[in-house]
Amino acid sequence: MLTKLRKRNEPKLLKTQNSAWRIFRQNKAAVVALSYIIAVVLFCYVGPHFYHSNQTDAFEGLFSTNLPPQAGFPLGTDDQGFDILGRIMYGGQTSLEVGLLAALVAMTWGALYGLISGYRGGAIDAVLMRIVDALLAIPGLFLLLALMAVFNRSELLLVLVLGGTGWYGVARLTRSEALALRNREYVSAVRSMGGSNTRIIRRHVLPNSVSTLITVTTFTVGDSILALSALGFLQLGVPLPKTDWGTMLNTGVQSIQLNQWWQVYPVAGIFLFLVVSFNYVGDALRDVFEVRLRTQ
Amino acid sequence: MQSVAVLFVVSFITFIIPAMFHGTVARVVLGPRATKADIMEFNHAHFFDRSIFYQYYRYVNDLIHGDFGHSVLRKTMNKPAWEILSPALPRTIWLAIVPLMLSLLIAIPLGVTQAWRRNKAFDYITTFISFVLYSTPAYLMSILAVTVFAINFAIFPGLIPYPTGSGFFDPPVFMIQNWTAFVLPIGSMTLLSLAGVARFTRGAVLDSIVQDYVRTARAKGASNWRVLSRHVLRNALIPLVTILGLSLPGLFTGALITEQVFNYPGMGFITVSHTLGRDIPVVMAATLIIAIATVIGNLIADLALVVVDPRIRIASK
Repeated sequence: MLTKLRKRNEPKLLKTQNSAWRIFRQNKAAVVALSYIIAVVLFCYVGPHFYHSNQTDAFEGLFSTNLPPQAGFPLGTDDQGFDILGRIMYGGQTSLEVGLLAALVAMTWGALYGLISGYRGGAIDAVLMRIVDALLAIPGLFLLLALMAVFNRSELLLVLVLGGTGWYGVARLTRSEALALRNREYVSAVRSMGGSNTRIIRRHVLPNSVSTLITVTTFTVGDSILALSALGFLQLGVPLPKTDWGTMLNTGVQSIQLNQWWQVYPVAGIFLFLVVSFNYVGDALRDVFEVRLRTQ
Repeated sequence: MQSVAVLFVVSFITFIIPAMFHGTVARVVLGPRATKADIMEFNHAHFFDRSIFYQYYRYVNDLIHGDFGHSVLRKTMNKPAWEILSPALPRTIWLAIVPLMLSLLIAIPLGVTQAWRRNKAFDYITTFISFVLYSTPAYLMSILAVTVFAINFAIFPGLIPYPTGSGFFDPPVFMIQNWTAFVLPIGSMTLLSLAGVARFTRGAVLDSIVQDYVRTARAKGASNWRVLSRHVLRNALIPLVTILGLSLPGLFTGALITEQVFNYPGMGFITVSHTLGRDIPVVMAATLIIAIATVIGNLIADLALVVVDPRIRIASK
């Protein structure tokens, strides 16, 4: 009986999942953007297996600094003699990893903060949200600089610092979501049946805010990659011999007076379109989830 | 009242970050060869070994008396942070305000045109351009501006000469005197904030174009121009004032990058150089001062809202 029931329900379930994908697919720009993101990820992680280049030995590059594109160095070399095509791959790994992890930190912390604030309401909500307002009054980069001045630079620190300054938006959205959800009938129903607050949050409020969270996290990944590159540009990025795109751009800018365009344009292009892509995908996701909310 | 609370929280943040890691300050001042006893003595002399509440009390007390702390960098040792930062503040404020005003002048007509001719080629093209501008990081914009106009074509200089004067109204005078040097920095910052404002204006005008009062105005035979300027824009632009206030932190961030690229000694430039030297008190003071500037900007925006929107009145008790 039970299996029969489940079977009857199955096609319906599949259909709703399909429809989300179908709505997303209709947005051609977002599909292009998503393919671009996937292509960049493959390029950065699979690329080095096919394209071998010196990325660690500074001594080897000593005699081949600032070379223009030529056989052996398709995109030339930088001021340390590292091959730029390979450097973009390795720098991309760092940028993507730090961006993604920072967004995860921001999402986890922001969601927790927002859920507590919105679900509890009242005085706790007022205090928690005033704190977010205060943090928003500090220009992001200044706070980042303040943190970078105190700690020793490392990849983990960058993840924590970027995550720790990127969660305000997540917290605000989750809060408004939780604020709206906590007065729904099904939440009162669970409460009347003796469901604890933890249960309500875990089983009912959180699953219903997932769509908002996914959307806002997509934007946060793009923002984190941007913020990381800004730090890298201010010489506060990942320390050598590792690199990230912002650091590469900084070295590139210093050599642009010598008209060494190959140190700036390739990395700037790949990076700019990646951030635009994250924005387009986030936009499309927002459309998808809103439409689903409306038809429900 | 709320802005006081905001400043309180901000001051707590700029206090707690270095206070939690007071070993770092001692290390920077005393150097890597300092012994444990030296560090303890330093911490004692600067009250780092007292309770956190006492330290915070001292910190706020100093702030109220206008003392933002002292530099610990060798080059500027013991110089008050305010003395280092005060000439830079007006430069950054003007560097943020001038592009903001310019972008308003361009973006509002642009947004209105986009909304008026919505879903036509003009709208699509400008929307795509503003989307790209919107996602362009400030430094990339400045770099491209320098690369193209200062190096490839050499039309404008890529660096700003060292500014003279430290009064609040010196920077605009300096900008006019050296206007060629400011074309690129102000131009790139204008382009950056232009996208957001145009986007917002387009949405707001689209919202109010379908309102009943617009139809009424049309029915009375008002011209397109009159409908737009008197009925649509006046209502559409009220929220813009709030948005402008909220965009201040972003503007200061943009100014930081622009100063760095064009070598303009504003707040951002000084903060970055002191961050690289781990001059924690000055960096914290800069963060706090910028936050204060932001809060004051928001206050002005709130007051401007009262002027623009006749429905809002300041509650008299």
